[in-house]
Amino acid sequence: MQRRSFLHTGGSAGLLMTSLAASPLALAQSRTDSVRVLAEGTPNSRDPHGEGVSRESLGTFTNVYDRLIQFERTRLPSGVYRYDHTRFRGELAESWSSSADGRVLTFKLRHDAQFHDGTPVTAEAVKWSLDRAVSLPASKRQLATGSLTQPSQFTVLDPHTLRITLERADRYTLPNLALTFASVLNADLVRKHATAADPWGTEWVKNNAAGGGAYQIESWTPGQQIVYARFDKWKSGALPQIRRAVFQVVPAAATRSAALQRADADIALQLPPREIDTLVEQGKVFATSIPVTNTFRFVAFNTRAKPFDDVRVRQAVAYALPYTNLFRGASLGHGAALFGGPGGEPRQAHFPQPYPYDTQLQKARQLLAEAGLAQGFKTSFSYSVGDATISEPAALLIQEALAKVGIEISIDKVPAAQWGTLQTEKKLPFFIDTSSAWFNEPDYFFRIFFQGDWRWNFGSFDNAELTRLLEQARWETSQPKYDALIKRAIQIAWRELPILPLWLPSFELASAPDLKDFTYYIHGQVDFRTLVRGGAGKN
Amino acid sequence: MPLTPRAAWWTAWPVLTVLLRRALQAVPVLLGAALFTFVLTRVLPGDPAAFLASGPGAGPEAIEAIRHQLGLDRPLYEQLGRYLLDLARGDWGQSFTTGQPVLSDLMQRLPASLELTLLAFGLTLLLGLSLGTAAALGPGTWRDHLCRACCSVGSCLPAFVAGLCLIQLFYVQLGWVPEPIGRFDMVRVPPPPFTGFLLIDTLLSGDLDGWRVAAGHLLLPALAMALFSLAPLARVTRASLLTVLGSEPLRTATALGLPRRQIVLHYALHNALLPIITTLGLVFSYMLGANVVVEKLFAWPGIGSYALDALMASDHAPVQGFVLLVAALFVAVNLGIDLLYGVVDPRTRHLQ
Repeated sequence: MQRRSFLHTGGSAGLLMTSLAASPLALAQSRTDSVRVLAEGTPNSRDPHGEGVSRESLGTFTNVYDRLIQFERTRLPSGVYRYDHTRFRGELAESWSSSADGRVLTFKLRHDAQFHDGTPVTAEAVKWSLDRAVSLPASKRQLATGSLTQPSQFTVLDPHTLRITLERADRYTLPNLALTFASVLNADLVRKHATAADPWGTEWVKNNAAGGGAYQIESWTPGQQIVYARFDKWKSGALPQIRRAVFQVVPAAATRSAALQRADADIALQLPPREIDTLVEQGKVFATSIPVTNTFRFVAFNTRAKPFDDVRVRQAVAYALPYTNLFRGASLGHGAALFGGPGGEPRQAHFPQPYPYDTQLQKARQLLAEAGLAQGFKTSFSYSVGDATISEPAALLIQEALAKVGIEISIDKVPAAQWGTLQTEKKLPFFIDTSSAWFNEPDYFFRIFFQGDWRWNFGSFDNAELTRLLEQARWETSQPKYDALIKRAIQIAWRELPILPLWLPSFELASAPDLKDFTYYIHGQVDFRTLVRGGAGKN
Repeated sequence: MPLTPRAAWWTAWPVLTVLLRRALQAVPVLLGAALFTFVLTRVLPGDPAAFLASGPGAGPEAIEAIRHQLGLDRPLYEQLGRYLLDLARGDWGQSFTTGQPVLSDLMQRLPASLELTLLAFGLTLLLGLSLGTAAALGPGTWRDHLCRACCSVGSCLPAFVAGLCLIQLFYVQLGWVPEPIGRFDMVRVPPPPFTGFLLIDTLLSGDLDGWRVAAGHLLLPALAMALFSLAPLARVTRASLLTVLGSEPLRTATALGLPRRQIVLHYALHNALLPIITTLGLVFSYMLGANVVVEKLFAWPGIGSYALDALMASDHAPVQGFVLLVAALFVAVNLGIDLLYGVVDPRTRHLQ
């Protein structure tokens, strides 16, 4: 109880706490405008364009910075919201328009927006931020997928109008502008801390937020907790109800879950399926699974090295995996299956969708025999220790199942620190992992995961026909033609199996029963701006 | 006993010499620890540069740039030389996961770990000694069985499981203790950090409520650690006391008709202390290094979880700093134990 009043009054007013907590009125009021989130990991940067930022940092960027536009959201049957990657609304932009050929986008900024230090948000600051975004490597890599690559593309027409010029109309420009990579920084403030060696002030921004978003950072204890306070002069949306938000790092899932059950916390993030099931059973807190369509769990093969360079071996594994047991045993059935699909011509042009494989040991043995491996073979199967909750049981089930067709795998646990290195260097023959793409469109998905000489092409796949299809689909404006291209690409992925998706996980939300209007975004962090507590709507 | 000034002079000297000699002996130990961790972190798989640049599409040139920035492209001996020089100057390097200097990170977190370890150690001492003594005084009775049961459960129950059980019972079910998260309630303003030990700082600032909160947060993790480490202490106490009770001087004392109370408390326990102190040193050192799991479970902001996070992120400097700090603490603990030997057993004074 006292926590809420603290959240309400602030750390400096700690002495008032006891008296406030004693008053029921103050108590009721403070409960409705604070929130406490427990998470496994920690934000490690305040720079939305920074290198090596953790996933939790994306939540910080969302709350502390504004962008020109943001994703619209749709309400799910469970009462929570899910972002809609196809529709947008203004954030700093009051309105925007596109030229007939789609090459020129003009954004009108709202006149009343200001940064946390009171500096007005101008088109010049927006341009400087976008210049910075396409100049620093991490944000540049992402924004380039939306044809945003050069500072010269951003022009200030007047203090509140910004023009973006594109080489050609790109369906990925607006979605990219809604990502945290396109956050708007307080240009004047950052410039004060820039040096000749560091013209974009990256060292300073890493440890100092320079935004104008709905929340300011009140305290930042690295690796432990972050306290956010509402920025009362925020104009880019309705003033949020939550005045104060605390984000705390609690590494053990059991502890996060316990604190939520005792109503000491309001949201527990990253709870494993087992904890969620227990919470649902007990019924004391609100728990729901939000379907995620752009994250997937998969096993990958190194298609460039023996024995997985032979497509028949990959297909044999696809027929040998114990899908149902895997899905139930490792993920406890949370998510959506990506196996046992009908095959033939894909009915829809979306991805990922169920692959036409299920457990048929006879077929697996036959394919192995055709590949000249009737006696089976030995290989290693790796997973990252950081992902052990799901991967470890999955690896054991896979080991057991593959032994039935003569494939003997030794399980290789890789330290989390080493995992990225091994994937980048393509040193793993066969492994299980999970990954996600920023956008849901199939051609975007395919470009990330099925081509290129980088970590995300987990199967080290290279297929000339697929490359050609994707190039055509990239700029195809007719939906039927686009769908036809994608359906052919999907068939290649099904047949060639550079990776074998298993299921789509779900985002598990566990929160206090009176906390409403949670919005799920792709990064799975908490957007404090939309949260509403209890009966606050009536006040 | 009144001492002449001359005697005081002589009794003070050996302790000083011992301290000085031991401090000198510690230098090669610490140097060795520094060298060892340096080599270890370089040998460990996992490239910090690759880890930092693991965003989508980080190419080889991005990784190379980060490696240069971290000084990882210089020859190994040069890196070592710089590292040792920096250490000598009090610069323990920079953590890139927290963005802070390692030494200030460690100093900020050390009191949290020390307070927890000391309290857990105190609990171990209390529980272990009383269980062991009770068992030794009545071999084969229910007290002995209780001791054995506690030892078995304590040693086979990992601290993590014990901690989970404690949380479930005392926090979720009974609600007797505050939430098992961190050292202090976040609703409160922490006391001014005189010592960094919250139990002391809250008292110094006269905040009794705060003291209760801090104690509540400490209780479960300390108990989880104590449960795990009391087994060796209780066993050694029992065994050592049994041996001493069966020894000839003690039998003589019994035969002479001395009261049992006096025999046990005055003669037996004193004579049984030496192996117990040795075990204490081991137990304390072990607790200092092995409380990582408990720190993780209770979100305790200590040095163990700090080092573990750094290790996971291929962040070398904090790991090296942690090992060095723990080595220094070990040296201090061992020194303390050796001095205690001298106090307890006059025979060992000559050896020192």
